[in-house]
Amino acid sequence: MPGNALYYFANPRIIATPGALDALKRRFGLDQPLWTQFVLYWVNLFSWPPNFGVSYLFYPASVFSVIMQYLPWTLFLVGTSTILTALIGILLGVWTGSRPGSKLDTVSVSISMILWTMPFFWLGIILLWVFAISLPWFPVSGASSSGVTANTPLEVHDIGDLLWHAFLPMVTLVTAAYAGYSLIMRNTMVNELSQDYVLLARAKGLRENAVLFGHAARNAMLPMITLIGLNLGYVVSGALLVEIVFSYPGVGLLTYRAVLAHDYPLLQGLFFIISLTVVFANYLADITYAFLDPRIKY
Amino acid sequence: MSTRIIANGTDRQHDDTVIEIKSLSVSYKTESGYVKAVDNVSFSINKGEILGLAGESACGKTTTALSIMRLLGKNAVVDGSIIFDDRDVLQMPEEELRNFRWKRVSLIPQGSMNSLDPVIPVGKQIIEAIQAHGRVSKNEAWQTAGKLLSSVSIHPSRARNYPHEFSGGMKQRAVIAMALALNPALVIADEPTTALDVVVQKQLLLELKKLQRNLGISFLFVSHDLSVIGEVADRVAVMYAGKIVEIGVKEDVLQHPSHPYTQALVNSVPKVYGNRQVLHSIPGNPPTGIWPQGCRFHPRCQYAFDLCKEKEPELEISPTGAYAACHLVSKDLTKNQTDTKQ
Amino acid sequence: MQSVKIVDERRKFSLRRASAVSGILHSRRAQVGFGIITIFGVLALAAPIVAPFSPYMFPAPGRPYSPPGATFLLGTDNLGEDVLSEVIYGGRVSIMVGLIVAFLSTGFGTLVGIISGYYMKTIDEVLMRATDIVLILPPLPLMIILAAYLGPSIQTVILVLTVTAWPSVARVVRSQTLSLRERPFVDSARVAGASDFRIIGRVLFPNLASIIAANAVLMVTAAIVGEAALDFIGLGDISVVSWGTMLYWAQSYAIFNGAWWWVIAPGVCIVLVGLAFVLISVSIENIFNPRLRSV
Repeated sequence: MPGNALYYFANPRIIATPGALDALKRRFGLDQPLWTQFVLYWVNLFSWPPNFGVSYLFYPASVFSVIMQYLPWTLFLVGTSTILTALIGILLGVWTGSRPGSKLDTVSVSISMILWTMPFFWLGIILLWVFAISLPWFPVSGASSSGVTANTPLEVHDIGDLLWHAFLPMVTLVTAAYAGYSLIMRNTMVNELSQDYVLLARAKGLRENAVLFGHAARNAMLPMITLIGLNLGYVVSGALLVEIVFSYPGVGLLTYRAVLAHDYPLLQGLFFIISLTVVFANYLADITYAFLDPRIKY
Repeated sequence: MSTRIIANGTDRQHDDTVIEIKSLSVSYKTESGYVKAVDNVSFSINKGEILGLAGESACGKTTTALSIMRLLGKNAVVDGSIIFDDRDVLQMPEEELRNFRWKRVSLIPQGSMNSLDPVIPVGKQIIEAIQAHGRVSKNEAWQTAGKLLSSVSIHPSRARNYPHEFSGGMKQRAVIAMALALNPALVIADEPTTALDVVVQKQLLLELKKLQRNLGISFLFVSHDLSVIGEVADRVAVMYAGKIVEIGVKEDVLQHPSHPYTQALVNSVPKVYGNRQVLHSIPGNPPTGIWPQGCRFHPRCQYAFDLCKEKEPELEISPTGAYAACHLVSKDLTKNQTDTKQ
Repeated sequence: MQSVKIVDERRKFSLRRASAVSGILHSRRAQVGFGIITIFGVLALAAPIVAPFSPYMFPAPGRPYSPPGATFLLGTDNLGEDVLSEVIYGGRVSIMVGLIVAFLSTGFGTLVGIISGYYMKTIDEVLMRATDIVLILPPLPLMIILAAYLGPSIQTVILVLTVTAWPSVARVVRSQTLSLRERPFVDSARVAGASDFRIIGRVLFPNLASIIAANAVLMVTAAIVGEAALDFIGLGDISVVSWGTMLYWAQSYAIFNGAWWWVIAPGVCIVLVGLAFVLISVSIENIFNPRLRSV
């Protein structure tokens, strides 16, 4: 760990006595031999609540408690946008996949390509500007008007207010992410629709919708779930950037501030917890896949 | 001479014709223009009879079969008429077509391996056919499905299983059961034996004949395998390059083929018994897209002469009683008959 | 014997490659893509000649936050520097970073993928473990943590982007290699006594070329956007003008001073260049799978 972390926290020019610097060093355990620090780190990690140390920025709050304050908001944001993205992506994919080469398909694919290359935080800035500043339709920042008192999304009494604050960030995230899903869903649908069982479903006299959704889409969705799982890392990354743009009090904003303040304990803790969350969500996706595909036994 | 007689392949007129196909032509739209797959094909199938449709790959037989239920893709242009129950299938509006499908004509597709949706239980797939055609309660539907399965020797309790839990033969039988769900008058079997081993093949053919006998169902049996057709069909139609080149009663067509192509096909079936012979095959490849001038088979025909290169032969009655489209049939009635052993 | 077989494959490949290349060159999609890239490339290379001012001028040429006008076609930023010049010079950095990252990550990822897929067994296990570890971690937090320790600079950005990008390339290449190595022509090469090196280089690689190319091109887009993201957070070298750092400054200053041009310009550039590469990549893909065609 770079020793200059402490420098930022305890500027020697302010703290006069050398003793104070030593005391701080001891407080943060930086005076102990490196390997002790390393071992202690892992021991602390596996205790409950996990001890990531104390945040420089939020001193004396522990890293863990700080992260836990911000995490629920991010989960809310990421959770709802992932669901929306998946829904829109799948529906659009089914629609365009069933008529490749049509005008709708061409337009949709073109738009998707443009959106895919657009840095979504840029989109976020523009949306913020247009809809929150120029036109005061949406709040400029925060998660709720009573953001100070509510610690988690569950504590907020006014769902409307919650959604109002989360609207722009969600729109940004969904717009940025749906394109990839819809393109892949489209391609999978094209493949599925050329399969024999689709021919037979049509031969049975089923309505076109029953064939599309009841059979083709049902099969095409399976790789999508895997994809959603794989992409969770990227979605979380995206959410981080969006939080910065909209000053949404999630772990993204927290990371940003931690970077600026060189708060290494906080950064490490954040990295650990975020990664863990993504891994866990991936695991959930795997289970969902096994649940939906009768050919897999888990 | 009415086309009806020619289409039947015999001299008799039939009142119990199940389906009549008149001048059917199908073209596919491709990037480089239209490709004709079926050219002015006419035939009919009678009640309780199995018509075998034979030919090499890409001769148009599957296209013909699928067009009966209008299952061809959006890029197919279909011409002609298909008369069923006094209605022209090709002119039917959506609603009527959906009703017609499966209820009057059903399909046993190529490759039952892929014909069943892998994520839906087999019983459910049978039921959806039943429920799409009328108000039937869930219980009733499941019962019917169970009965259908047991009629093909599958225990009704397996209805809740998924396709991957069935063996290949079971899947094939389940698909047959599904095809019978609504008691159709005609079942189109598209290469049903291709992916199966001989033992299962035999079971399948026996099954089909049983259904024909007991339920009076007509079959359109499409296959490139002449020996299989020989076992199961009553009448046989041979297609080449989008046209029917010979059609008639099985014994006439397969034992005394009139058309050179049929003869060559029959000769190329290897015989298990008897003396060792050189394997016969037909030289060259069937034409795709661009058809030769005159008779389409003439480049590969050992009997071809001048007229064959200029004029396309029409289906005419041959000495055996079958109809063949060959100039030799009309010209010299005795010269090209060959006796072959089955 | 051995050289004949491999030469045969090469000849087949060159024929295929020639028709593929002509296919790509003739697709309108790709033409648009190449066109955009050429414009930006020329501008970037000729920056000192083309840009009206230097973006680092001191004192700044114009008044801060002046809207687009005659002298400053895209307006000025908070210091009064010409936004158009910033965009042109910034393009050099952003595009260069994109290309370098794409090159490095594709190169390394391909190497890992081929070795892993061809040799299988232990080496495959080990390499794939390493790949998985990086794959499963969310990219941005990983990048942030690495960059925070390495200090803000362009090299950090390049390194960090490469590290997070190579695993997906490796995965894709590996699965292609696995399926290719079972093909008959690989077997016949091996039976003829070709060394592994030859097989990989002369037989496997050409067949992987299309997938590698399509992905590499996409990677450039991803890298340009990634660089912008890292700069935006402040992990890049903020004293260097790039499209990302422009957004970094703009985020704080532009909005409340109404300088929309400062925000729009770099973003539009990123989208255009990114789109160009995506178009090319899609046309490469569509050559090899015509059923997917739509645009």
